[in-house]
Amino acid sequence: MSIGRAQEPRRDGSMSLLVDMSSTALDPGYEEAARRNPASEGRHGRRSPAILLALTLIGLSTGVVAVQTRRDADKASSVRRALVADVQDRTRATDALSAQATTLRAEVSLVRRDALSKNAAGRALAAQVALLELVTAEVPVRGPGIVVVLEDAVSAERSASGDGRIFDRDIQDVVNALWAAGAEAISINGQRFTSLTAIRSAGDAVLVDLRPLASPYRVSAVGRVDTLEPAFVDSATARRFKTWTSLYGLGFSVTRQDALRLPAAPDPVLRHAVAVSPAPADPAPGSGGSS
Amino acid sequence: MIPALALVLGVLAGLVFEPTVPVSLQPYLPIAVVAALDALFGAVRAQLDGIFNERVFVVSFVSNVLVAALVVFLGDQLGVGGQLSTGVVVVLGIRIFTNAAAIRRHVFHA
Repeated sequence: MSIGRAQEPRRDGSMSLLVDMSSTALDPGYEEAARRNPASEGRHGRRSPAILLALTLIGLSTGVVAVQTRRDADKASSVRRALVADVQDRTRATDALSAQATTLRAEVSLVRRDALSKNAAGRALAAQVALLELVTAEVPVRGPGIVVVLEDAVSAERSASGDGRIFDRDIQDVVNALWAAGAEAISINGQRFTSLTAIRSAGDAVLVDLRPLASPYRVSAVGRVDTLEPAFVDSATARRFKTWTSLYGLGFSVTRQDALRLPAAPDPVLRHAVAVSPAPADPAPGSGGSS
Repeated sequence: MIPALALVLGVLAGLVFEPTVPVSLQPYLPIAVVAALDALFGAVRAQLDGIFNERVFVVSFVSNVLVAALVVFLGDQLGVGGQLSTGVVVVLGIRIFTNAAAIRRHVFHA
């Protein structure tokens, strides 16, 4: 893009914008002024006060803009740091409240069991509540069961289309197969499943109830091991996974465990409540009458 | 020599004294500086070509700054501020590079 190029006639007008820009980069006013009085400007014109003032202004404004830009960057980063600190504070507060809620729920459950033990109808109700708490994952569970471990393929074996990765539907298939095989309680990487738990993918991560999980995925299922394990291993899902271990390099293993501990599902939501009318307490055992 | 000294003194004054710019003018200052630099490079090139004229320099400097700030201001009013300022910076950048190349040819004969 030298000045010489501008003189040749161009057949296409598309380049004329850039050519004009670079050929008029030196203000044509200089050439016109030189043409009009060729004898004038020499060296002394450079020291005129107008020029010095203009140069000082240019330098001053450059310095000011540099300072201003740095100041704005500092302000932006300090705002960001304040926001990050705020988020961390709120997260800590939420975690503390959540722990407090769990403690209070345990207290309530003790008080309820105590109140319900006063008569036969109450005890039947308490038994029903205990069974429901187990089924809806409101209480932690302990017992024998199996652990299914799913693992992404080592990154060298992963193809661009994500063939070596565990997707949300893989985990859904495994969990459904475990329920069908007779599992009584299931959790994955320390998170308990309820009937409302959602397993989703977001980008590369698998989300269980909006919490991201990372490979390897340990799915623990509590149940009668001698029926649960064969039923699951024979299921279509398990067989499919076994072929995938050799095809795509996925990790898949099923092991028995004697003492699994599954946590309770966090933060159950109360949607509907009915008051139980208070019934008279049973008479005390030693005071006569059958109990 | 003295003009270069004035330029350097101006930059140092700006960095040391850190004058605060009125908030309404702050968005236009960077574009105005680029426009002023364009006029400056043109002036240096004209000086090396031997056709420097003080009046042309002052007029081109003032008009460059005013027109650039005006274009960005108009763009902000019309809602195309970002795109117009990008366009202004592109054009000024091309002119600065062209003049700098010519200056380099003069100075290093290369």
